[in-house]
Amino acid sequence: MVFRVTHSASHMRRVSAMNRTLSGMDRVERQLSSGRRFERPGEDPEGAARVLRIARRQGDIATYTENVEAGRGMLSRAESAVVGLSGVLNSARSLALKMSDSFYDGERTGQVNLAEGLIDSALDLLNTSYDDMFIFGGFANAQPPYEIDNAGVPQYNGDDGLMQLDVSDGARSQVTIDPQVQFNGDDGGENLLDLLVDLRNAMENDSQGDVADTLNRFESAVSRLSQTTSEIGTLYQRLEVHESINEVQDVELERLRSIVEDTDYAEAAATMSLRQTAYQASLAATARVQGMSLLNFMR
Amino acid sequence: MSVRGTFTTLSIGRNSLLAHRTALDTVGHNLANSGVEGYTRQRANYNTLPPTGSAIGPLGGGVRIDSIQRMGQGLVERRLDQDASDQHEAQARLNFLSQMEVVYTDESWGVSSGMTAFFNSFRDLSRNPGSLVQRTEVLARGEDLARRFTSAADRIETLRSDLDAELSAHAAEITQLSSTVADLNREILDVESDVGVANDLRDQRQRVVRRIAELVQIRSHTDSQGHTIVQMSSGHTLVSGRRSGILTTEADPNNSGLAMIRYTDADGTKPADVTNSVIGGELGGKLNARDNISGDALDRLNQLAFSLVSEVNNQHQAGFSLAVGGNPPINAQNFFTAINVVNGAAQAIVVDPAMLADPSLIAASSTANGSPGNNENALALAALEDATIINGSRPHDNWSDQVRQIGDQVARARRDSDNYDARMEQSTALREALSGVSVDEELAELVKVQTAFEASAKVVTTADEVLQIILAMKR
Repeated sequence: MVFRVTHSASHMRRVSAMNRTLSGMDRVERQLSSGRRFERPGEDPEGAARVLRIARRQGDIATYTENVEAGRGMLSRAESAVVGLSGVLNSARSLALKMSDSFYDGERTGQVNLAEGLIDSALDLLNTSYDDMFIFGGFANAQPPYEIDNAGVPQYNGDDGLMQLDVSDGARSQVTIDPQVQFNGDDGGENLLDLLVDLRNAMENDSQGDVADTLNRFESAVSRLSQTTSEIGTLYQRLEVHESINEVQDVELERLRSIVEDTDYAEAAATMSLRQTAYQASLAATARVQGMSLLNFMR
Repeated sequence: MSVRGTFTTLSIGRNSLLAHRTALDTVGHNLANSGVEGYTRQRANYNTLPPTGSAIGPLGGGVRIDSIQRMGQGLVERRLDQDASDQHEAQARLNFLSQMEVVYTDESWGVSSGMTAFFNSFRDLSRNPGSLVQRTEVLARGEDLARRFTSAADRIETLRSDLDAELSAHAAEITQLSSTVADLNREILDVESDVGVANDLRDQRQRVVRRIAELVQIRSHTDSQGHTIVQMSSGHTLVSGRRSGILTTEADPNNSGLAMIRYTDADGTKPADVTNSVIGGELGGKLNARDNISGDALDRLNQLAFSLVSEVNNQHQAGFSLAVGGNPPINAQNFFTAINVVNGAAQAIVVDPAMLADPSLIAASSTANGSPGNNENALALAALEDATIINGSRPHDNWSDQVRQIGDQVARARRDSDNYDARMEQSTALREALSGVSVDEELAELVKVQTAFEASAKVVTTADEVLQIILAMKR
């Protein structure tokens, strides 16, 4: 027996088919115009969750990049200060060498102002700041950490805190150096300010022997500073490694995000074309069939 | 043996004319209702009149219409009721989820980007923990995150309230429709006790039952008297004979004042809370969306907000503030105002007012010595982003899991809706095949009946002519 097809049923099927084709076309059109495969979680639940995870990591990497930049800034300032301090110490050593060779009474006393100038320079360098933080003050970095008190004795007002920053996923990197070890002689080396003050005092006292005693100490301090420069370089390099990791990760995350989220234009355009054809066929068929009945032939 | 006269021929012609005119009316009625949804085509059933005896044996007595048959099938209608119920349930669920999905969609104002910005603000602070600018930024990010949680929870709550408000209208409609079916049961029985079958009233009753099925899943059958009995799938009777039950709503104090569906039987007794047993249809779909989908979503959101607030506060309390104006650093300070219960946490989350008034209270330091450059607690606070602090998962993983779950629910609702649409389409096509009006078929029938009518008229005129001839023979 033939399945009866009523006009109402075929009308319903045609409208339903047109709606389905139009809805499919609308989705592809949105993909093409927005450039995204999906706009809502319901269109691709797993994709939406992945995009959120990727976006979160991209946000973190942007912060890590800023941290690396800040760390590099601090270490660059520290390196410049250490290079400057090396220069000051070399000048002081030259002065000490010259004064230890002088047999003229009073010559050393007359050159004290040179030693004081070197102390001032060293103070300036030791109180180097970055972003309003005194980078050699440890965690107590709001005030200048180094000063000469009224009695002419060097004082250190900082602490041994080492600033670390998050520089990539799960990685933290040191961006300051320990002034207690590097400059204040905590590891058995020379306290730089003490050494310069000793030179000045020896010159002020016109003591050739005391001046000569500082020579070896200057040798040792300059040598320690070159080691400090090397340590700063190591920290700097570590930051650069993390920066490279972040750059690679950022590119990779962008690529992943694109795979998950972006419209494949070639595929979407082909699908669009296919659906357009189907829609046109559907419209044409509807226009032809709609309104046709036995009535047309009974007039 | 009787002798048939010319009047017998006239009688046959007259009966035939009457029968074909009735058939013509039926065709006209079918064509007139061909566009009416739920109309069941009718068919005039011809029957040959009993023969009368003659010298040569029984001779035919012509034709009459025995009945106007309604070409419906109860089985197909019940299947359509079930499909309509499923279709409307899925559509109601999809509509709600599509609106709720927005909460989880826009990453620029969603919870995820808010958490990223919040935790990264502690990393920014770690670069210069003494900076009041950075501290103010941390507070701004904290407020922003709180707003995102509150906004998401408010949005879900609003959708839930809107949905709740619609339930009483549906309950009232079901009550009114049930009463209509009971009235129609009475009318149909009254009509059919006289003569024939009340085809159009039966159609009307079926349409009303279909609308009830769209609102709630039902079971229906016809009893021995021809009454349609309608029960909700929970077993509560909506229509029994000429009587109908009542659905009402009232605020449920045990469910945050949301509507409770109360059923009262036709006698006005046995009132029962049927909220949890109503399934299917728009009402079932909306109850499911209100109590399960949005309820679960709010629970998950609240749990995330609660855990986040607790963990951030715990870590913040372990740190120390800046020393300002000669005052020593303090600790044990909450970052967010403490929340004691999970329920409602997402809407209760706010940055502690004391913090907002004094950014120096942010505990970036791990020690009490007042060192402004100590960033160790700021780093520890930032590290919470990767700590398993929400039922064994990390905050971002928890949120993206919530997004995935909502996405899955939307996708499933869309699939269900498409499937039920297709099923409804198939069932409707089957109903149309059995009960729908085919214009071509009716027009063909029209031509057939018209021809038969013309032929019957010819019989009458011929019989008349014969009669005239006989009368003329006597002159």
